[in-house]
Amino acid sequence: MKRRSLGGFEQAVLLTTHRLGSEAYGVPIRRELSKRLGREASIGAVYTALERLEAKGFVTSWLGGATAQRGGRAKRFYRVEAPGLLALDEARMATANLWEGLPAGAPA
Amino acid sequence: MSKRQRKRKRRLNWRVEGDGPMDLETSTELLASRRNLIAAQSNIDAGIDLTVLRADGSVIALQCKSWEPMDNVADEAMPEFGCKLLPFLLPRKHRVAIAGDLAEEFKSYAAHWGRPYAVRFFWWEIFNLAIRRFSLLPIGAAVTAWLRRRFGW
Repeated sequence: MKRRSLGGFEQAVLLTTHRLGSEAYGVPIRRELSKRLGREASIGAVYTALERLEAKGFVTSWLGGATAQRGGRAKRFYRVEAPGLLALDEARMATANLWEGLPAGAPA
Repeated sequence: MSKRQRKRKRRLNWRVEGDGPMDLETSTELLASRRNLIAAQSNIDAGIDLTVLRADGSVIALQCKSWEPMDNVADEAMPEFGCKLLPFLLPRKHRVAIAGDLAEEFKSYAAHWGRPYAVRFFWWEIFNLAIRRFSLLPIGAAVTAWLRRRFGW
């Protein structure tokens, strides 16, 4: 089976979705990303990444209830599935392998 | 019912997802109480989608499993023209969710940083969505064509 790769931004979105757990939908994902990456991510970029992740089978989504704060529009919640967790683990191991033997932090 | 009242009533009609348009009995009351509306809150867990508290102390509870504004109804807070563009910019699957996220963020920005900042945020997001939807090239071509027509470039 062909291994499905994980892009840099996709990895960030997947990790954030996993971190947020049951509260993972567009707005908290975007806010958490902005807080942790230190730069604003557009709503379109977040949903594009989530759509790709869903196509790869890393996340699943469902429509939640409508709320008045959103003008009656429903939220789309996301959950990380087992292949997504596996991909995150592989990405972490790959990064650790690349860093192996190098001193942490920027060179003096 | 006057023309103005009919227009405002349409804006307060809600639609049950999948069941077509539905005119809630309370929409007329909501219309009448719009200026006296002092609080509205949602409690999905209790089966009440929207509770409206009016200045005269009366309470209206909307019970509807899933509802959304009709497509031609623009969100009052967000720029109307931008809201009309949204259906063309969003994929069908994410249309409701992204529009809701935009509305939520718009209200949050407007509350914290003021409406001009929220409007700038909104148009920047619309621009981003347009680029993602149609790719940069057609937008660039459209802008160039407009500039040529407008300024004779």
